[in-house]
Amino acid sequence: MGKITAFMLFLIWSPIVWSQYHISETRTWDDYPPEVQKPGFGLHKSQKVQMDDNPPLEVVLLFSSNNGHYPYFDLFKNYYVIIDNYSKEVKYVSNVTISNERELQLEDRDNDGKFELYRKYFKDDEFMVDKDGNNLKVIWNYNSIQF
Amino acid sequence: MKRYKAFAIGLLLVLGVLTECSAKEKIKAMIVTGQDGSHWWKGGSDAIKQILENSDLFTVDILVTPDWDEDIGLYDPQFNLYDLVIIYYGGNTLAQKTRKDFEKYVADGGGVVVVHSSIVPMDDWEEYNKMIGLGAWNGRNEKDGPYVYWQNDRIVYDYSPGEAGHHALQHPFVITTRIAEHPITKGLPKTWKHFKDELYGKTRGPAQNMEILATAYDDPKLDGTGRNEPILWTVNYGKGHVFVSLMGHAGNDPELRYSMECTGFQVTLLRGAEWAATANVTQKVPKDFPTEDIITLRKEFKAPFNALELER
Repeated sequence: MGKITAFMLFLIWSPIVWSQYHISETRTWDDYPPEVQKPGFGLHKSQKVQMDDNPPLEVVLLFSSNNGHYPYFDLFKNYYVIIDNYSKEVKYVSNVTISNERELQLEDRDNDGKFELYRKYFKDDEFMVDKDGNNLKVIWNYNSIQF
Repeated sequence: MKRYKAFAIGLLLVLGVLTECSAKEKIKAMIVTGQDGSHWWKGGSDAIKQILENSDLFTVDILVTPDWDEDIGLYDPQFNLYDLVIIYYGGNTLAQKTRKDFEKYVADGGGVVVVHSSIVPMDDWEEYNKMIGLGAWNGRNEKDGPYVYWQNDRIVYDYSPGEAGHHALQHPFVITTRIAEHPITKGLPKTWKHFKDELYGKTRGPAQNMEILATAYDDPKLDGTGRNEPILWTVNYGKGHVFVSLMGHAGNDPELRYSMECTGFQVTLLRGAEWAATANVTQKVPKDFPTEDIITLRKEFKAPFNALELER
């Protein structure tokens, strides 16, 4: 009797049993989960590419917000989000960087069949312009994001 | 010797009288400004004052409204002391007495110039909406009137529902003159390029007694509306003349006013201001006016010494 009771308790607490009744949460988004959108940013561009070893493609999204208008250029705050296009799992959310471009530069420079995301940016508040807002002077940083 | 002294004193008196007469002939203008969270209203209104006064045609007073959290009822200018009121304002609706005074001032023949984002505020002031003809944002939609734009050589009044107001990233754009014989646009090139600015689109409003003088194509490749959007227009309100220029962004991000440095903005502002105040334009088209290919700037907000040699 004790064995039967223990077995029943095991069944009650077993994830295998409960998983039969588990209902996944309804997905209410199409392009990206809303939690990846930071306040004040908007989706600027997206592109599907192969970034990892799994067959499904990844969706790379560029979120951007304006960070100042100057006579001959603009500054933008950018960050990138990478989502598995099949599982919709958010695989990567970058930090926010500053640039005068809003580019989604995805290339397979090492020819390994997987694309890399290339970024050009500078640190916030570390730039100079003249009194007319021209001649942007910055120290550019370059890096890539790859899996 | 006494003769010379008398002559010199007489000459000075005559010159003094002439100078006084000349000063009296200037158009008296005031600028309504303040309370704009999206624009550098201090820099913008200062630029407008410089542009007008440097032409030697205007004297300009800047009358700043109370701040956002202060009582707008304290703002009570004597409009009738001026020939022209320039609106460069983005804040709370003026108090009822001020509104009524302004309506009377315009209806009785006062001149008004409305610059750039001043078509955004005071959406709940029906008569202001009539004066500006077309407005944008602040909840304006089909209840306020049709979208108005230019298509197939005519004005389209589009009553389809939708919110008013749109602009993409700032960029230079080409202005196309639509009424070449209006005093404000007479002699200007058919097309000319304006320096980097916000191109407002999807404007809508009562659009009564209105003439569209110039438009700009809002290129969808640059996230634009795909329409030829009104940029310069006039509205007749009672006996008063209103001139609206959608150019003239002055950013607070940072505080720069390069759009106002454009010669095309400055010249059309000067001509529109003179027309609104006097129903006439005496200014010749300057030599440095931009063309479709060449943008020109007046960074000091005044015409270069050789700008007025040529009349087109």
